[in-house]
Amino acid sequence: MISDGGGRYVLRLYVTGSTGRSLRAIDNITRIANAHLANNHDLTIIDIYVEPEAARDDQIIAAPTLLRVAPLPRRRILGDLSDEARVLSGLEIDTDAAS
Amino acid sequence: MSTQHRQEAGATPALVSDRERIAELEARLAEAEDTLNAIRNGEIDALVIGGGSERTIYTLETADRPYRLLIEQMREGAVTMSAAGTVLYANQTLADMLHIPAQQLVASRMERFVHTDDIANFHSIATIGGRTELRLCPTNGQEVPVQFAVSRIDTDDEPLACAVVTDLSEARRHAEELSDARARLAAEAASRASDERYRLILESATDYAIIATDLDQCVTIWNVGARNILGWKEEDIIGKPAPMIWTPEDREAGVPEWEMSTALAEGRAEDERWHLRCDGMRFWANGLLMPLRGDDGALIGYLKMLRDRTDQRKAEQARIAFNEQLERRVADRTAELAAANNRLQVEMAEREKAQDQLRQAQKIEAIGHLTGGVAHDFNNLLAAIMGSLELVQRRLGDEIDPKVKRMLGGAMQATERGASLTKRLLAFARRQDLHSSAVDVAALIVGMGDLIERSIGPMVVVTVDMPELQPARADAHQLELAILNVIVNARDAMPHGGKLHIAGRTEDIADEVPELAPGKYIVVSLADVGGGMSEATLKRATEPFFTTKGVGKGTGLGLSMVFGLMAQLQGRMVLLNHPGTGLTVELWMQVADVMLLPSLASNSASGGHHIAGRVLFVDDDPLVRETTTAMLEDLGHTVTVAASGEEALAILTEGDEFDLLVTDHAMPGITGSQLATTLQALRPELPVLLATGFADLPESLGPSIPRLAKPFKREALARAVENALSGVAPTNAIPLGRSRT
Repeated sequence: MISDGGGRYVLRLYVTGSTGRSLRAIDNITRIANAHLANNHDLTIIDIYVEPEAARDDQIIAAPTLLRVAPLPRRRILGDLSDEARVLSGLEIDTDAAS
Repeated sequence: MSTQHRQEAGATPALVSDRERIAELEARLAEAEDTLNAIRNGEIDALVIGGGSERTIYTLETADRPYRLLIEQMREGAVTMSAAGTVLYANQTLADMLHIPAQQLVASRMERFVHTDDIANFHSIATIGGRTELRLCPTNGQEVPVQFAVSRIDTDDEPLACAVVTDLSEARRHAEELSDARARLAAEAASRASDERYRLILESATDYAIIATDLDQCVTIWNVGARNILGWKEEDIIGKPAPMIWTPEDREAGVPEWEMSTALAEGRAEDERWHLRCDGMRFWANGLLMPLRGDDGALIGYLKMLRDRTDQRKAEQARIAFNEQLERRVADRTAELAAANNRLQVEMAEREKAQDQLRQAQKIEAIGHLTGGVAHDFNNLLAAIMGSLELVQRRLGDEIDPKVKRMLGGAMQATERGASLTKRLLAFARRQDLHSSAVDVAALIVGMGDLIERSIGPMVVVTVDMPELQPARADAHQLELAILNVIVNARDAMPHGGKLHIAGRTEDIADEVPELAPGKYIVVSLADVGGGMSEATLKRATEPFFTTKGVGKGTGLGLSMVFGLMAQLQGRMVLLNHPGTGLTVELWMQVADVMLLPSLASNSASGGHHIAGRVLFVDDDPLVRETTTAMLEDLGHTVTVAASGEEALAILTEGDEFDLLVTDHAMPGITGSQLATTLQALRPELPVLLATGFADLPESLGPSIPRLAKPFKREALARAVENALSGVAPTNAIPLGRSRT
C-alpha cells in the first residue's frame, strides 16, 4: 500500500441524526483529520436516516461508522472515534511522517 | 506494514499474491472483529439491517434517548398513532395539553380529543399525512387550537402516524398581540399625524391665544398666538400658573374659578374682559374656556382661547359715543325745532290775533269813516230841519192850530231821534264829540238810581256796591247812556226776573295789558244772572247793528256804542261771559289826572241877557246856511254869510268888524279849524265858535275853541253864541291830557 506522498484521503462518516455517539464521532473525526491529514482529505458526514441508499451501497451495518473510501483498500471504524490511536491505526495514517 | 512489504521483496509473485490476500483478509477480519466489538461494547447508536431492498435502521435504546428527551422536553406535543387511531405513544407536553396523565393517554383513541367539527379533517390528515389546524378538546373543557403535523411511517406490519401537535394558543395570542401592537402602532402614527395637524393648526392660529392648562391651572400648551397676544414665550410659561394672565382684581374676585366652574357646568364659559400681558399692560379680550377631557371622559384640564379685542372695543366705544353724541344732537335739534315750532305757533296765533284785531280795527275805522261822513251830512240836514221847525214854531206863535203844533212837535221829535241815532253811531265809531271831564262815577250811578229802577223793571233786584272812588275820565252824559244800555241788555237777558249787581273798584295795571295802558283804572261792573252769551254772540257782541233781540226791539248799537265810548276814552269794555249763568260787563276808565272842576253849565247865559252881535257865519251847505242865519237873526244878531273859509278870510281882510265867527268844520278848501287857527294869529280878539257834526277835529287845534254840536236847537245856539260873545270858557274846554277833543 502506498501511503506516503500518495493519494488523498476520502472519508465518509455515517451517523444516525443527532444521537450522542454520532455527534461525538463528528466532533472527533473533524479534529483528528484536521490534525493529521491537514488539507489532504475530504470528509463527508452522511445521515443514514436521510440517505439510506448510501448506507446500503457502502454496506454500513451500524452507526456511527467511519469509512475510508480512499486510499484503498476501504477501511471502516465503528464507534465514536474517541480513541485517536485506534482511528489513526485503522486509517493507516503514519503518525511519524505526518508529524 | 510497509516494513513487512520490504522484507518480503524477494518472494515469488504467487506467494506475494497469496500473502497480500492473506493480509487483506486479516485486515478485513480485524475490521469485522472491531465492528463486532464496537457493537458488543455499545459503541454504536444504530444498526442497519438489510432485508431485501428495504433496510431498517434500528436505533438502540441508548441511542434513542436524546430523541426521546428531545421529544419529551420539546414544547410541541408528539404522538404516535396506529392506523386505527390508537395512541401508541404521546409525550408529556401533549398529555399536559390535553390535561390527562400520559399513562391514560396511551392506548386511548386520539379522536376523542378532537373537536367534533374537526374529526373528518383529523381522519383525513392522519391517513394521508400533512398538516392542518385543529381544535382539541382537553378534559378541562377549554378548547385549544393546534397545528397537527402528521408523518406517516409505513412499517411492514402496520402503518403508523406520527404527529407533532403545536399549541397555537400562544401563537394566536401573539398574533393577536402583534395585530394589536400593529393597530396601536398605526393608531399612534395616525395620532401623531393628527397631533401634528393639531399642532400646525394651533401654531397657525396666530391671532388667537390658545392655552391649555392641567387641573392645577398650570400651562401645558401655549401657541404662537398666545405669545403674540400675551407676550410670554412658550418655554417661559409652560408649567407656570395660568391665572397670571388675569387682572389682579379679577383674580381677587375669583373670576378664573368662576369661569372654570361655568365651563364645567355648561361646557363653555365665554366672556369679555381685561387681561394682562407679560409687560403688565392690559388688553381687552374675548375669551372662551372649555374643559379638556381625556379619552375616558375624565377632566384633564382646561382650554382657554383669547382674542385681543382692544382695538375693536375702542372702535365700538367710539362708535357708541358717536352715536350717543349724534342722538344727543338729534334730540337737541329736535327740541330746538319743537321749540321753534312752538314759537312759530305762538307767533302765528299772535299774528292771527293781531290780524283779527287789525281787521276789526280797520272795519271799525271804515265804519267810522262811513258813519262820520253820513253823520256829518245827516246832521246838516237835521240842523236845517230842526232850525226850520223851530223858526216855524216861533213865527206861528200862539195862534198855531193845535193840529199843526202837534205835527210840528212830531217832526221835531223825529228830528231829535235822528240826532240821537247819529250820536250813537258816532259814539261807536269813536267819533262822537265827547265832553270828557273828571267824573265821580259813584255819585253818577247813585244819581241814576231812579232811572236804573225804571229801566230795569220790577222783576230784577238791583244791588249796588259802590265804594268811594277817584274821579274817572269820562263824558258823564255818554257814560250814563252807556250804563243804561248795559242795564237794558241785562233786563232783556232776564225776562223772568233776576238780579243785577253794580259794583265799583279801582284797578292798578302795572304791566302792559292788551289794549290798556299802564295806570290806575276805575272799573264799574254790572253783573246779571241771565243766560250769558253764546260763543258766536260774544264774538259779534260789539259789532254795530248786531242784535239778538227781535226785529224792532233793539238797534244793535247798544254794546257797540259802549265799546266805542270806552275805547275813545282810552279805557275798555270787558265782557266776562258765563254761558248759562250770566254776563258781567266791566267798564274800565282811566283815573282822571285833574281835579273835578265845577260844572260851568249853571253860568251859561240865560235867555234874559241877550247880547246882540255882528256874526260872520261860514258854512258850505246852503240849507244850513239859510236856517242858521235865520236862527241867528231871530236871536237878534247881525249875520254876514260866507260859503267857504276863503270867502270868510276875504270878508275879514276887507276890514269888516265882527264880534263872533261861527264856522262849520268840514268844508272843502279851508276847514273850520284851519280858519280858526289862522284867525288866532290874524284876529286874536275875534272869538270863534266851531259848529261841527262830528269830532274828527285835528290834534293841532287847541281845545280852547268852543264848539257847538250839530244839529243844534235854537236854544243851544243862543247859549253857545252868548257864551262866546261874553268870553265865558266853554264847558268842554277843560284841558285833559292827550284828549283829542
